[in-house]
Amino acid sequence: MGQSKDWMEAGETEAVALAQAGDDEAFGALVERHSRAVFRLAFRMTGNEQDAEDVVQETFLNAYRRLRRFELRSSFGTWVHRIAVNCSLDLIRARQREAERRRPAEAAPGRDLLSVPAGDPTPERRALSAELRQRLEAALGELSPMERAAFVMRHLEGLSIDEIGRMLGRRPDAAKNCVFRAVQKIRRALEPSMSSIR
Amino acid sequence: MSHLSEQELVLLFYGELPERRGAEEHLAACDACRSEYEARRTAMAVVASLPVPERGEDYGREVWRRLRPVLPARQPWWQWALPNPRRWAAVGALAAVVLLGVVATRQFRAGKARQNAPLAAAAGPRVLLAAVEEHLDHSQVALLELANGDGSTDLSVDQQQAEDLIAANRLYRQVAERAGEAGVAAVLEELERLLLEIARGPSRLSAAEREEIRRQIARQEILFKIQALGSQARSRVAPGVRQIAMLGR
Repeated sequence: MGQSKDWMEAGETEAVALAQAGDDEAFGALVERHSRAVFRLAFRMTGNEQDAEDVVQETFLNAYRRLRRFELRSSFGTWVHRIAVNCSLDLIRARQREAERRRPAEAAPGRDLLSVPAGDPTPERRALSAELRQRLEAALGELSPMERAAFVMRHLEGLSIDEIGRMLGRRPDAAKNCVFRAVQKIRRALEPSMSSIR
Repeated sequence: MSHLSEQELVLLFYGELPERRGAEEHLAACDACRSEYEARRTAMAVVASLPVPERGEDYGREVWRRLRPVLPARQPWWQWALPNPRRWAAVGALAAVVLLGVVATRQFRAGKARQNAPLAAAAGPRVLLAAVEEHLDHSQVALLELANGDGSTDLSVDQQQAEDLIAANRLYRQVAERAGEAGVAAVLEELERLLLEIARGPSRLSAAEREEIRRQIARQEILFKIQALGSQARSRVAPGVRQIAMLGR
């Protein structure tokens, strides 16, 4: 317990070192510190609140299992985000497989496979024009998992193309291509509603 | 300076265009490009305004409370060094997969696609399936991306990716044939034909050509077969082999 208190003063690197040495309280502190950011990322990736909660849990479980492989000179936050991206991609793909199994006769590869359910409406969501929101959520749901991941990381998380490539285990060109496609699809989907907000 | 391309506009928006100054000067002088740029900027502002459900200050504590009871027991690091036949069998299996992959990559990159019976024999069917599972996953993502991409997009990156997949696919197919895994080999052969067609086809697709590829994917039910094979692999691979293999991700 004494050690757990120590890391709070010493900072994140020490917390990770203590967690690696078997101090679960130190790991708990890391979970507490990064949970909200991981949830935001997971929600943007999956578009669904419940799925995002599942991703948060799975992310930290994976982080716990792999903790000894984490190198202290790296950023723990970046590492956890990378795990969260992979967990989100796994979940999106699992949802697609599930949808395909449920509707084998209609399973035209593409549109239906890639739709992601939207989250419950919130007051903020209602504030955004209903039509625009509908188009946007549909467009996000139409993106492939890789396009969605790359776009979320570039546009909403502010990562560079190179960083996204490293996160997704792809070459920068491939990551760039995913971002282009996503922007193109979203812009075209929103085009009919854009005149009202320009 | 000619008009800015779609890609240049997007890179400029994200501040990642190498020739930024020239592009900005052009934008200031060209109504058409400025209008295109503004259209993207407005659309992207809408995306950024899509709210994320709020989580309170104590959300992290809640997550930890839920997580703590389900954390797996951790072993001290030195226990890994103790003899454990199952663990070392899994490590050996993974080593075979890694060796297989390294040799395959070198061979195919050098254009020396020769047979490798000793390694195939060493790997065994379950190890093969563990490696194939990951390959199928990558192939599925690549096909979905291609099928849902935009007709005006340059496909050279997808084609390079297809080339990479072909090299791995060919090796896995050969190993599957030698291991007597006829079902696996058949699906991989079908996948290889499709990947070849993509890799060797035109680098830009018209809407009609893309539709034809989409139809071809649907006709062959290749995505369904890939998923079925992936499920088969997951159910047949020993958990230890997969766990160790996942550590390599």
